Parts: sequence; structure tokens; C-alpha cells
Amino acid sequence: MIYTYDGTFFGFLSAVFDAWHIGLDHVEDIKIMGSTFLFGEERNVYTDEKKAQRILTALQTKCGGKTCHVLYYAFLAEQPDRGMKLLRYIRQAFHLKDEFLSHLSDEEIWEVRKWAQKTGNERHKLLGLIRFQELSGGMLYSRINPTCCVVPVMAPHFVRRLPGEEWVIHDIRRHMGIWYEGGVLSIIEIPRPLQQIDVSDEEAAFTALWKKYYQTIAIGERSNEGLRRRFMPKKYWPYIVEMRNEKK
Amino acid sequence: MDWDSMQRKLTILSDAAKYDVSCSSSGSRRANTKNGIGNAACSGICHTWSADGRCVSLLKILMTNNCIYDCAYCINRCTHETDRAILTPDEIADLTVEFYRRNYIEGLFLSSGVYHSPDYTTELLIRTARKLREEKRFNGYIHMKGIPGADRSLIRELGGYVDRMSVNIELPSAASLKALAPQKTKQSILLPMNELKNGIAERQEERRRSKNMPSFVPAGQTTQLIIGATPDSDRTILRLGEALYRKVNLKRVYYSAYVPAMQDANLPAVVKPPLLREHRLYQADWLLRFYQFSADEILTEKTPDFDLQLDPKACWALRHPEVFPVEINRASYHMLLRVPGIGVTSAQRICAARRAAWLSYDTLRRLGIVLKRAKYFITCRGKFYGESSCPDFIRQRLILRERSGSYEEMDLFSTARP
Repeated sequence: MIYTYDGTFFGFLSAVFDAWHIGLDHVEDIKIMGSTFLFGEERNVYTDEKKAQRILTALQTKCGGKTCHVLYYAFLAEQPDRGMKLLRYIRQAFHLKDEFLSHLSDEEIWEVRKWAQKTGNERHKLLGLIRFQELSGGMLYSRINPTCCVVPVMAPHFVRRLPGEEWVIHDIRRHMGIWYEGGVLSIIEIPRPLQQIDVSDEEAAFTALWKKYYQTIAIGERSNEGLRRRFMPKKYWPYIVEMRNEKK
Repeated sequence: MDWDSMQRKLTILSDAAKYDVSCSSSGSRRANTKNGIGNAACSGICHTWSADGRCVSLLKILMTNNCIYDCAYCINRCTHETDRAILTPDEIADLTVEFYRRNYIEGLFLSSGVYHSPDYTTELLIRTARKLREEKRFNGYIHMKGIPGADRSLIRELGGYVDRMSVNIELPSAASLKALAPQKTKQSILLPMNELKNGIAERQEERRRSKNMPSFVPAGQTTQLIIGATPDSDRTILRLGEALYRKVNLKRVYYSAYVPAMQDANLPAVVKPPLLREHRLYQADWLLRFYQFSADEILTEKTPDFDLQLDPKACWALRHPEVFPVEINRASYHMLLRVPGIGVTSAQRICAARRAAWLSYDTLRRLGIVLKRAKYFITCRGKFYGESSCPDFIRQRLILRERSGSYEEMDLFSTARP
């Protein structure tokens, strides 16, 4: 049996929930809806928050909050074979209970942890690297193209930090974003990226000041291009204002 | 805002501030307030990296590069002819908030030349900090300089607004200080440091009783030492660092390779900054703070300087063949930390993992241990995987590794080697 879900984390957990109750021996894969399968029976699972919450609550009480955290972050890394590996992770967790966290020698569980680490690292890096532009209406707008799906887990940081502003973080590859205004946070779909961004009057001047600052702060005698690139990979450069038009 | 004049001032004042190494924004948990903007992230967040590979986390500028002092190594010395500028508290506060909103920075690092007098300069710093915290309701990270010679009450007042303060020692011995910075004394530097230390300790005690007490320099104080401008040995510098950690409770000591920006009869004729020496000092500094080493273990009287070919931890291990190899499944956490190739994270992982299973060699690789270094110093299930435990042989192998590694800085370092 191949279980399909809508691509969300709660959808995935609903599929796990159904699979668990029908019988884990028959699970061949857990995949996102829309892919076609030549062989095997298919079963569409509809996202049910209650089912998802039951798994999460059980996981939290039996194995600790860190286990849930790793599961969510590993899911967001969007690895191609995540369905079965994450299912196995959940089974192992329920099997080992509070010993699960110190069980580091199992290779597949280790792999899941690596995925979670990948998402966590990218989230942390992007918390610093995203740049807001002030639009003419006063809204702060930022676009990024992250490897892992980190935008949802980045939002709380900026809610704490900029509660009085209206802002959007736009993931251009996944066509989605986070929109915050007046204390309300919502996940939105952005089907087509804006071609022209109408920035505020002062925006260009502050960008110029920041670029100037960025260039002056480097010490010429210590120049180390390799080190900079290791910390700030080139894949992010197009979205970082001071790195646009940078040579190389 | 007058953009052209702002651009000019920012260029002068950031250029003058760039030799201060510290840029971390960690250690403070300041929360946002009602209708406020910003908070501090305890882990610290880097916002960009400049062309020299150093992280930029704070808007690091001088309030003014006007200075009454004449320190030989400093580009802002009063006898040096250069463009001078001064930013008002309003300008600094506006710039900080606008950069912060755009997520360019984590906060402000404000330093200054000594303008008129230490007290006058500190008063201007206080005015800037108060403007940011009270008028702008800014709760991001603020790091400010303690000016040597300023009145204690002013230092205390400033400490109430900021997250971190630092007083730079710069020159690692009294003799060097006398030669290169004749207007400063050891006493004038240590006084504000001690004042801060006492202030932090008192407030911590008060906060234990009442959570509502306002914070006082919650991210602690730091300092900076210049490397290579004076003949002081690495051992002198490292022991000074250790004393500062133990006696003044510093959070960090920064080491800055001397960049020959100025010329003076008392300064050495350095062609390139001693970057590798600086790197070794940082490695040793980490050993002091996280690996339970003491300065006397890292550099002995016989070897007062670092081995530039090999890192200090490996050097210690090679000097002490009698304690190795250690058995991974049995060694204490303290001993695991001393094995080259095992860091704090992997030592903790080993301790956690061996509670559940008898660790095999393959598991070690997965736990993040650098086996190409560690294999000469460990046994796993009783088996030794390095070919020989002779120190000379291991040394050759480790040096080979370090050279052939993907370290791009190595090219730079090898030319910097004396």
C-alpha cells in the first residue's frame, strides 16, 4: 500500500496515523499526492489535525520534546526518501521511549538527525542573511530561496523582533510566504513573483549606506575570499543586497 | 537626513573602527518590550561576512575618531593626519534602528576616540544608549566601549543600558604599554574592568532575589590584545588571557594580529599580519574555556611560543605519550576532551551514546569524531587503529594532514610565516 498526503507536516502525520492503524507491514511508501505509481495500491489520506496531534502528543510524552523537534525539522529538509525513513524514526522512538535520545549508533536514525541539523543550520544562517526592503506603503519585504523549507520556522523569530511592523518573507521557489500584520501571522501563497517592487523613498539611500559600510569594514591586508564563501555560500548572494554586483 | 555627509562620516568612522575584532552579539537574552523593536538572540546571529571572512553582526563604528591620545599603533592617534568626523547621538540612533529593521544588523557596537576627556566621551555614549533604549524603544544588542580613565559612576550608568561592554587592554605587558601608549597606564585600564566586574556580580546577586531588577551588562565584558606589535611571548599573552578569565570573569578575550597601519620608531617593521599566530592563540583560548586546559599545560617555560606547524592540542598530546591511547568506551569526559580530533560536541555524544551501546569504530565516525587525527590516540573495543604510537611518527602524519587539508588560509599563512 502506498499512502499519499498533501505535502504538509500534519498531512504526513495523518498518513502515518492511518498506516499505523491499518497495519505497518503493508506500508510500501508514504508520498506526496500527485505522483503517479505504476505498481501498488494507492490510498489518499486527508489531513486531519486531530490525528497529527495525537501522534505528536504521544511522541512528546513518551520520548521528549526534542524528538518531535527533530522529526519536524527533518521533515522540512525535504529529502526525496523522507516518507519511509521518518516512519521508521517514529517507530523506533515509540519502541525505545525515553532511551531513544541517547540511541545514537543506529545509522538510519542518525541520518534523520542529520536532516534536522541541515534545516536548523540553514534556518539559523538565514535569520541573519535575509534582507528586508521597505516598500512605499511601509511594509518590509524579503525574498529568499532556501534549500530546506525554513520560512515557517523562521517566522517566530521575526514576530518577537518586529512586532510593530508589517512584513513578508517570500520563498520564491515554493511560491509561499509568511505575512505578518497587527499581531497576526499567516502563511500565504504567492503564485507569481512581483516583477516590479515599489520601494520607499529612503530605501535606496539606506541600501547605499549599508553597502558603503560593508565595503569599508573589510581589512584589505586580511582578505580571504575562501573563508567568506564558506560562511556565506554563493547560492544566497542574489538575495543579499550588499552582495549583488559583487565581483566573481 | 543629509545623505552625502552621512555617507562620508560613516565611511570615516567605520574605517577607523574596523581593527577592533569583537563583533559577537551573543550572551544576552534581552526580550522585546511593549511597542518596542528588537530583542537579543542568546546564541548571537551573524548577518554578513566581509571580504576578509570576518563576520559582521553589529554596526561597528566610532562615535568620533577625534582623540586626545597618541598611541603609536593606532590609526586615530592625534598626531596622525587623517579625515576626522563625529556622529551625534541622534544620527547613530536613527541609523541603528533603520539598519536593524532591514535585518542588516543585530545591533550597535559603539566605540570612540577620546574626545575632550574620558568623562565627556562616556557622557556622549550614555546619551546615545539612552536615546536608543528609551526614545526608540530599541531592545537589540548594544555593545559599548568603556573608556579608560572615565569616572566610575559614569561606567555604572552606561552599563545599565547596554548588553556588553569592553575595555581594550591592547598591549599585553606594562613595558609594552609604556613604549607604545605612554598616556595610558595599566591602572587606568584595569579600573573600569574591575568596576564592571563588581557591577555585574552585584546585580546578579540582586536579581537572584528579585527578577524585576533591570539588567547590568548581561552579556558580560570582553577585551582585546594586539599580537605581534610588541616582543611579548605567546606564553605571556595566554597567561594574561587566563588570568582575565579567572580573576575578572571576562566573557571573551579577542586577539588581533597587528596590521601595520602606522609607522613609528617603536613599532616592529612587520610586512604581513601574523595571522597564523593569532589563529593558534584562538585555538589555545578555546582549550582554556571549553576543554579544561590551563595555560601552563599548553605553553611551558621551555616552549613559550606556539608550534606554527601543529595546533596546541595536538602538541600537548604529543608531549604526553604516557596518557595515550585512551579507550573510547571507558575514558572520562575530561580525558575525551584531551584527544585531538574530539571536540566538546563529539565528547558529549560519545558519553551519551555509550550509555546505550558498546561503541564500534564505525559509529565513532558517524558521531563526528575526526578519526584521521584521533586514531593515533584512542583504542576502540581494545583495538588500536593508528599504525604507530611513536610521537615523531604521529607528528609527521598530523603535519601532513594539516598541509594537505582543504584549508585555503594555509597559503596565506605559509607566506606570513617568519
